[in-house]
Amino acid sequence: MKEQLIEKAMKFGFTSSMLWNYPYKYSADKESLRYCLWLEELRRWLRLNHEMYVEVTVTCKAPDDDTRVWVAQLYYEKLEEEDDTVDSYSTPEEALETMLYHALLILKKEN
Amino acid sequence: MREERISLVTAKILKEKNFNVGVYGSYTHYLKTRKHENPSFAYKKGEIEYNSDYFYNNGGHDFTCKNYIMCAAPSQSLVQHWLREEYGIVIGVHLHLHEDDAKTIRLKKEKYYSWIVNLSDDSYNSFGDCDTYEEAVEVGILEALNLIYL
Repeated sequence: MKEQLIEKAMKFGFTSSMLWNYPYKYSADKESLRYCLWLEELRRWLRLNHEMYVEVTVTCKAPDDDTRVWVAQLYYEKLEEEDDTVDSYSTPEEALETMLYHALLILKKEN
Repeated sequence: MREERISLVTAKILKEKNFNVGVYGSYTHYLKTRKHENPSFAYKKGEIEYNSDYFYNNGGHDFTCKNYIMCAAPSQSLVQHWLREEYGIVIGVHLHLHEDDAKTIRLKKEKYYSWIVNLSDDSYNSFGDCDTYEEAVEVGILEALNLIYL
């Protein structure tokens, strides 16, 4: 999904140096952190340039269940109600990544 | 595409909370006025300067003294990530839509509010009624920093 998303975003003219030049010291997994920040930038770009807003929320733990679920939702003016995807994921990155991909697919359909 | 950076106020609190991540970007807040024949060495009380060079709070480039305070100016996204990784505090922004607008979403006209979930105790709080997404994130970060006790 990562490579596909990057490729698609670049096709739409989204550029960010986030993936390459962030020598942060605190993360052991720099590549993952860079990608995570890149996703945030893409989210911002979609909001500012296409009025698409991807919201990620986290559910609280149920008393009898220790799992936490991340939910992603896309707000878009031109979105048909049936396309208004809400899904749950195990990490916030996964939620954001999937919904951003979904948003780019909608943009592609429009073009 | 430029990242949205945190404000000086937030940057100062972040430094107090031991944000020790190297970033490209820092603020210098001048506390005194200094006159100098060379204008590049002069500064005015209250002046805020932004520098895009590499910076690390309390590191080798931090020359904070009685005349000025220096602090890292990371992006909002990085601070959000740091808060989640280091303290289990998640900040999100919710877009507030009026019922009439449910079908017609105009992001520029809507209100945003931030929410915070502390993963350690599952507590949830929401704040503000902001005009912009960035403003809401800033409010969320400030509130999250209040939850950190060193």
